[in-house]
Amino acid sequence: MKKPINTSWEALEKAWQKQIQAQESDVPANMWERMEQRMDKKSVRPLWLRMNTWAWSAAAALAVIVSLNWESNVELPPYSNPKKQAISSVAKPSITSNTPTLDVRTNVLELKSEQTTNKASHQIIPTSVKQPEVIQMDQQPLVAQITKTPEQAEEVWVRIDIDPVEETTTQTSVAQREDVPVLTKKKTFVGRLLKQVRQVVAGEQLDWQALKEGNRSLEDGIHQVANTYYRTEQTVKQTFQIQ
Amino acid sequence: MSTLLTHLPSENLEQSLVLACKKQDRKGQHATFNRYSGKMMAVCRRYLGNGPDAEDALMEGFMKVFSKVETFHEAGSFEGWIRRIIVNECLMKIRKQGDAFTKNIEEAWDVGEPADALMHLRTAEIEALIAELPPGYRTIFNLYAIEGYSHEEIATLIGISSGTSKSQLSRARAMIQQKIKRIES
Repeated sequence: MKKPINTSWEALEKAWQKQIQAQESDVPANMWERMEQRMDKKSVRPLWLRMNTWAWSAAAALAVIVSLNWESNVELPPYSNPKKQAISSVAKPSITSNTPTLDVRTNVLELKSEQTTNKASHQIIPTSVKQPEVIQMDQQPLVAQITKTPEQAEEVWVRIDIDPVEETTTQTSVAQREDVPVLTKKKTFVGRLLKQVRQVVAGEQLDWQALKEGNRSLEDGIHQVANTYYRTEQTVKQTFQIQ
Repeated sequence: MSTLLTHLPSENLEQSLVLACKKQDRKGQHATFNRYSGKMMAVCRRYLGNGPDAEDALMEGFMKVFSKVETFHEAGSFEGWIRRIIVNECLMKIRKQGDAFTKNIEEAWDVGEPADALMHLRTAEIEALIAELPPGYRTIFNLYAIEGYSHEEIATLIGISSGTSKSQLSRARAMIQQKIKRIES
């Protein structure tokens, strides 16, 4: 702050200062409400601003780890065309094979796979197929109730779980997809590295070949380092020989 | 809370308000606003006139007061601290309006003794005299004569030399003197 100087202007201004600093003006009536609104707006911060830097770093690291694991775990099999197969009937084998043919309106599920496109898409289409009427009267139909109401069309929706591993006799007619990527449980590089470290700690010899197996970039890197080391060694030897 | 606070002695009241503001207590903030907004509005009008800029400066200033109250360490008065923030806000507004402070004129005018009439002016008349000054002179006069800043402080605040501050003050005084003489005659 300024040092007081005893001049008449200074004295005058001191007097004015006291008068004016005590002065008050009218404030608009809604000003506090407007301020409150602004303060409320400021207090609601978006989530990404509220998160700390370390949280962002952790999330980014997690995303990288997940993506790396995904890449190493998924192995696509060689490309093959999907077979065109359709479900001819959803009736059980016992009915189709051992029972007489009945006039039954059945809804058959057709599993259509597109021939023209490379990717197979399964469509479940309920269709009504009328079977030829061949009834042998001398034999008792096993499914007598169905014959009583031949007019009614029944829609049967069958959920087909395509499991490439589990194949039962009832699922023999279902199209088998061969273009589905097969998830294999392959150990990641980090996992294999840790295993080797544990082995070394336990006193066993390091299986370097097993570690680099399947990891092309690592293998290339090892070769590059080895080559560089060899070349450097040769150069150093030559230099000393010349000297 | 504001009704309760007004019954407290002035110093205790100020401390209570500071404490409430530091806790971001809305009622405490409202009480602070009610207590000081009238005086601060007068400050804003003295620097910026009666337009909407004065209201904006007051609002922005109080927003800063509430958001930066943690930095107030009770070395001086709370009112003085608020006043400085409001004045800074007004200076920012003036800076946005144009280059009122850029003229570096070091030549001071010789102003004689103040007229006797100036000693007997009422507050409204003083305010009217100051309001009639050009923006540059008015700002320097307000900062030096009314707020009590030194020329060095003014120079730092608004980015001019202290010589310019002195010369602008002398011109402002001369203009006030001329106006009073004109009124008297």
